[in-house]
Order: sequence, then C-alpha cells, then structure tokens
Amino acid sequence: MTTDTLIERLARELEPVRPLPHPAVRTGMWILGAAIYLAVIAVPITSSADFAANTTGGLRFFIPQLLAIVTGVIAAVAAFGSVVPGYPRRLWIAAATAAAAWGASLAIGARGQWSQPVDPALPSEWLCVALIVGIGAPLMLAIAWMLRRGAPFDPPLTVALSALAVTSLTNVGACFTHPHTNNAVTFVWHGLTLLVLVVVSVMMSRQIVGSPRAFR
Amino acid sequence: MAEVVSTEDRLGDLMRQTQAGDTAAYVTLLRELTPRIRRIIAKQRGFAGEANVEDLVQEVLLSLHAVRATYNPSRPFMPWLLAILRHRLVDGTRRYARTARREVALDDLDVTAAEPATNPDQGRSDDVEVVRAAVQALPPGQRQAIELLKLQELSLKEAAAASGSSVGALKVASHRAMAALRKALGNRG
Repeated sequence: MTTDTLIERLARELEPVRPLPHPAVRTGMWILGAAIYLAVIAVPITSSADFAANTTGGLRFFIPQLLAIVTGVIAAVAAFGSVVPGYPRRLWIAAATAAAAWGASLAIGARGQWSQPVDPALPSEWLCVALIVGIGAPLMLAIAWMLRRGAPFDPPLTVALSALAVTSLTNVGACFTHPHTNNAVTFVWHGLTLLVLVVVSVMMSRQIVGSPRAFR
Repeated sequence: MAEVVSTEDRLGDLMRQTQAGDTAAYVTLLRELTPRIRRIIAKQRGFAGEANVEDLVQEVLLSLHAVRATYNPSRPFMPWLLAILRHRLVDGTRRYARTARREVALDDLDVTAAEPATNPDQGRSDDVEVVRAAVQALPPGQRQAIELLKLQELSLKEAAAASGSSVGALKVASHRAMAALRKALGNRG
C-alpha cells in the first residue's frame, strides 16, 4: 500500500476523539476512586481497638504510611504519563526514590525490633498479603483500563509503576485494618509482597496494558 | 523563529481539528507531516533501504492515528510527534536487527512471477482455478472474511461494517481461512 493510499484510508476511518486529560488529572481521578474504595473496604473491618493499637506506634507508624501514599501518587502520575508521547519518562526515578524512602523509613523504624518475638495473638502476616492482593486487584484493573486509553510504548515500565502505585496504597489500607508486630515484620512481609506483585505484573505487562504493536 | 512558532501553531491547530473529526484537516496534516517524517527516518535509517524507510513512515502515521487522543491541545505538537517517531524508530531498529540476523541477501534474480513470459497461461489459469476452488470450499464466514479483507482489500473496520460481524470475529475468521487455504494449496503438489 502506498503512503498516499494509507493517508486516504486513515482519513476515511477518522472519528472524533476526546483529548486525554493531563496525567495529573487522570491520577487525581484514580486516587480519588481508590481512596473512596479503600475507605469503604477498610473502615468496616477495622475495629477501634486495632486502630488505637496501630496509632500508638506514633511516627514509626505514620511516617511509613505517609511515604507509601506519596509513593503511590508519584508512581500513578508516572504510569499515566508513560502512555502519553512526549511526557517526561524520568518520573519513574522520582517514584523509585519515594519507594526507597518508604522502605528506609520502615527499616529505620525497625531498629532494635529484628530480634523481638512475634506476638502469637496477632493475626498472621498472610492476612496482609491476602488483603493487599485482594483489595489491590480491582484497583489494578481500574488503572489498567484507564491506561489502555493511551500509547503503551513501554508496557513493562507502565505496569511496574501501576503495580507500585496500587501496592503502595493498598499497603496503607492493610496496615490500618489490623495491628502488626512491628516495623521489621511489616518491612519484610509488605516489601516482599510488593516486589512479587511488581515482578508478576511486569511479566504480564503486555496482557495488562496491551502491546506497542497493538496501537499501530 | 517566528516561522517555527507559526508552523508549530498550524500543526497544533490541524491536530485539534483532527481530534474533532475534521477529515480535511487530517489529510492536510498527514500530507504536511509525511515528508518531514520521511526526511527524519531517512536520515537515521537510510541504510535500511527506501522500502524500509517508507514502511516506517507508514508505521508512524498509523501510530499517530491510533493515539491521536493522547495529544494535549494546549501543548506543542512537534515534541508529541517526535516522541512517537522515536519509539517507532527504536521498534524498527530492533526488527531490522532481528531480520538481518536471519536473512541472507541474494542477488536480484528473475523469478517466475516477475517475468510474464516465463509464466505459461495454462499454469496461471490452473492456479487461479485452484485458488478459487479452495476459497469456495471455505465455510461461509471464513469465505466472506477472505473476500472482504483480501480480495476487496477493505480495512477491518469497513469489512466489519459490511458483514455485520465484529472486528475480532473477522480477525479470527480471516486467520482460520488463511490457515485452511495454506493447507489446501500446500497439499496440492
């Protein structure tokens, strides 16, 4: 087919499209939806005793939660930006830095806790894993659906950032719903869960957001 | 400088009109962009040959069409286009490297199909008849997909509108039909 024929064909197929909102706006929409969804899920299953037990951790508890939220927001902006041609790709570095700061805050908060015995009265950490995966799945589907309306030039990067955003936010939800032994346990269990989910998502990136060839 | 700005503004305006569904603006935009895209690709990938350059030009136009919603009308047009172009060049380079590893270049040889004198009418007629019979032997859905997509050269969208099938169903029917034809014609001799 000649290029002139292609141009005529593309013109014949032209339909009006609504310009994609700015990545920050799309992030805002997704974060708002995620916050409402997490609140609806977390509030009924969080007892006031659990909430009180969590908050007694003070800054050791709240700083990692704050950094997890910051990581989620930056990762989501970077994910939405990664499907817009010309949008700065290097935002992933900011997301990775925020994730590193979040991990560091947990590690610093865990000083002196590594040898503490686990309280057998507390729920198993598998509950956290189940909560992060179960609560995160609909959020991942939502962000994947939104990202498909874009240009998936680099599916692994887009999906890694999406998985980081989802896991960061669901991690906060999971941390509020029940008490944890200490920061050391949270660092290991939540960190491993995040890593596994990001790796698995990247392996399925072409199924999640589509292949670059699909938008040719 | 003023000329660069005005060209940028004009291209941005044309893209805005394209997003609104203005076919004339779209044709103008694509015709104006094509030589620029071709020039950039030829500069970077000229070694790959004219046909490969033109393939890449068409891929960029197809990508532009597919992701036209991602253009932000309040932003400059050229950085958006160049990002698409850059990604297509990277894809093209990867594909070229893969192909170059697998293929061996041969001298230009006269092949039967390219030399009318070497194609006996009898054989050609037989081939046409055999192909026609193989197409007729296909199930109705697959036959319709082949007729619309391969013989009438309609796009998937046009073929879907003409047949009342979905694009996905047409893709599947076309794929199965081609497999059946390959099998039928391959077993012939």
